[in-house]
Amino acid sequence: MEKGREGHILYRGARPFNFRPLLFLAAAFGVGIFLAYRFGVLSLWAAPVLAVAAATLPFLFRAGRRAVSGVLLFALALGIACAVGSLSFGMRTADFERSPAVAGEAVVTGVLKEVGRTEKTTSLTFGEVVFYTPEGEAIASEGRLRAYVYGDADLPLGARVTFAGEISTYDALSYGRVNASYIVEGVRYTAFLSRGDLTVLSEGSPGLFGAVNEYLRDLLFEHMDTENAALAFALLTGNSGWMDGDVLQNFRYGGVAHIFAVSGMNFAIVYAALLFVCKRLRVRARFYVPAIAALLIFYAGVCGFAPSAVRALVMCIVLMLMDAGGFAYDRVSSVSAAFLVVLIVHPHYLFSVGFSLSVAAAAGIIVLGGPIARLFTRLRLPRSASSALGVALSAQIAVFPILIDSFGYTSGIGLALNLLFVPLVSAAYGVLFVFALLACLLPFAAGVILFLPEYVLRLCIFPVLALDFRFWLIGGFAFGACALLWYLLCLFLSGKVNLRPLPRAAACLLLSGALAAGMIFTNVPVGYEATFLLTADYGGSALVVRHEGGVGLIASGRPDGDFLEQLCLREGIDRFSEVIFLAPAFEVNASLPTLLQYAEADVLYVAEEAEFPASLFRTVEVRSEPAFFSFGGGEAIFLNEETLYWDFGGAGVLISMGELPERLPRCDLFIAQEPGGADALSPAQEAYFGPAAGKPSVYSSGDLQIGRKNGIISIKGRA
Amino acid sequence: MRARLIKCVVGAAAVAIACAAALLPAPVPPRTEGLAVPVGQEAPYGGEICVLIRGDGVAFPGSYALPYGTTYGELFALAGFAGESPYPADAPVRYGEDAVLGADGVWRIEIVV
Repeated sequence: MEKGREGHILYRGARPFNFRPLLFLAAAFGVGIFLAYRFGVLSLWAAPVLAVAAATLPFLFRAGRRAVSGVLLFALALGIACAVGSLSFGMRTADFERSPAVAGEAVVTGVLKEVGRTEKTTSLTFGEVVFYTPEGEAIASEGRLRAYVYGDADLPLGARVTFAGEISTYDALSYGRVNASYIVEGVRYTAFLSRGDLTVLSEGSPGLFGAVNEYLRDLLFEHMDTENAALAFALLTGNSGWMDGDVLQNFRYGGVAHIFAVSGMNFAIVYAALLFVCKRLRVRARFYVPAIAALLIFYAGVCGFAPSAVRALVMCIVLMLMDAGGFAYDRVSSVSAAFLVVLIVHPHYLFSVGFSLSVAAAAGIIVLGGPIARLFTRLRLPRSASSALGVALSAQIAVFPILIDSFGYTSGIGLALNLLFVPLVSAAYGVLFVFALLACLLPFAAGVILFLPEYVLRLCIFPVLALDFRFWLIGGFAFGACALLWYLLCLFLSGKVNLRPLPRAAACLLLSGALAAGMIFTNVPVGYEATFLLTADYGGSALVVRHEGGVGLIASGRPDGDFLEQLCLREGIDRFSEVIFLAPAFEVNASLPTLLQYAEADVLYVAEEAEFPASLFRTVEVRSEPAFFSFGGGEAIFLNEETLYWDFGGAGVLISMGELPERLPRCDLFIAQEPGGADALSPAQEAYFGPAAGKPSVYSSGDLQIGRKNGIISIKGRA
Repeated sequence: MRARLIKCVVGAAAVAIACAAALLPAPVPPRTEGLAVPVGQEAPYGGEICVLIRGDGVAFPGSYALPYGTTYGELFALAGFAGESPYPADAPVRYGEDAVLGADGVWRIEIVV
């Protein structure tokens, strides 16, 4: 030991880092899943490669005979973890895709499994679904169907319901992202309905967790003000669907919406309360450990086994077992165990934003929390303040790349708000949990019992209602694969790798350089004369081009507000110099106000045939163009309301968001919602917003960056 | 020895349970291809602008396919036009109100001088 400490030039002590089997097993499992996502069954080759690589380590370091057998066994376990992760992802994805694809009109019967609310719609999730097609075919599917109903549709859980509607099928991957939540929940189909479309065939009984969830919701909404009840329900169960959309969005802008995800804070408070009671009553560990574990599992079930709740549950149970068994609690192993268990339960959680944020925050606090707190202590800050700052800052640093890549922005005042809100909300949650439990047990006195938590909550939410946090949002760039460099840099800076000062400084410098270069490469199109971006989501499709005169936008008709907001925040755009909606005039009329909520616009170009009332918008100049006009650094011309020809530096680009006109010009690049119509044009390149087998599409590859240089037009996925 | 045996049995049981939990809920053959669809394509494009020039002062009227970025000055030199140009000589030829879509699907800029 002493020899290693004195002798090695790179690290201090006996080894560069503390070996934790669970951490490596969890990492191998995660790598297996990621490789299966990327390469399919070919990823299974990674398992023996990983095992052999791990098995060679003892020979490299000339380990003892006993150590060799241990390492070989562990190498085998690593290989198995990688292979199982890969197989699990492949099999679950195949299982999801096995449910038949259904598209078009159908009569559906199903059993109501879940009810959720959004600002304008109610989402109803049905299981045991049978489709009756117009051709008379009956298709039973194991996949669930999520119906979005405009307005309130509060049907009883467990009821068998029938309706007729337009059905569409979710794929495992859409718009370049794994549909993790749909796959995990088994939701394969979707439909948009009105309340009148639904007919209840028979009442049923909801499951235990669903019944408790429903009982709690009814109790809160009956005895509290609607806004406070929605807030209380979100804090207790993680279901923020009943909250006012603007209030919830303001929490997101402030970077504190995570308080509505049932996770570590909630479980820690519940566990501490239960443990306190058990120890006061002198209950032995052999009795209270299973009892508390069962209650925590029950609570996670009431919260719908949300990924953050499951992560926190596993960490809590590990802590409890270690504590009861008299073992030293290792937080890294605990979070690794949670990661592994959640991925074993469902490998697609690896691609879930909620789960990623939960794990990153927990790992960030473990790895960076201590060093940051010590830094503040050295600045003579009180210990408690340093600790709070350490926790808040480390969590913010850890979730920063995920927030930027998933939502396009993060809050610049998030740190301050977290320091203020998290202790406040933790205290409010503790009060709320105890009083809500009492109200559930004594429903006749619920009105009196819930009086205090209602006022505590009202005090907590007051700053969010009073202030608008939509300022100082950080965005306009993406991390992509550079997120890995960010986390590696954090790891080296934290000191968890026992490197000597010089190698550590060198590693940090190297990583910083690589990160800076990677970020530039990811965010600045290098090596092109000009580029533009194709992006799309379920809420709309758009082409964004930056040029010397500003930023041009071509969008589909009636794009969703969320889609436009995310586009503006992600791209860092607050003003468009030219805007075109390739849609009929009445849709353009409805689309521009939606855009103006998130960015300003100088000129709106409309087709001459659109007969658009130019005086409608005071701040935007509306130009009706019969001939070529200047757009995006080139010239463009409307071929009809939904089709535009654009001269992109000598490359002819034909963009269609709907019907093609009869006469079409030759083009080098054809861009449309879906294939069809390009055959006669025989363009050099094609790109689509929607599904297009074998062709570049935003649907299958995510955002596409299109560039030109030296007579070559290139299409590539955005990193 | 016995302790190691117990550890091995417990470890093997844990691995078996984990494998069962990960694989058994979906007893179907795994997806052979990956979900990710990387894209990276390149293709050449013409980069030409077609111009139809005619007029009394044009020595060589007719249709020209010019490289993108050609200026009006270069075009007039090519067509042998020496008169007073309504276009700035150093400005690149661009599509404007004078562009017409031909029956062959090619945009032509019609310049009458």
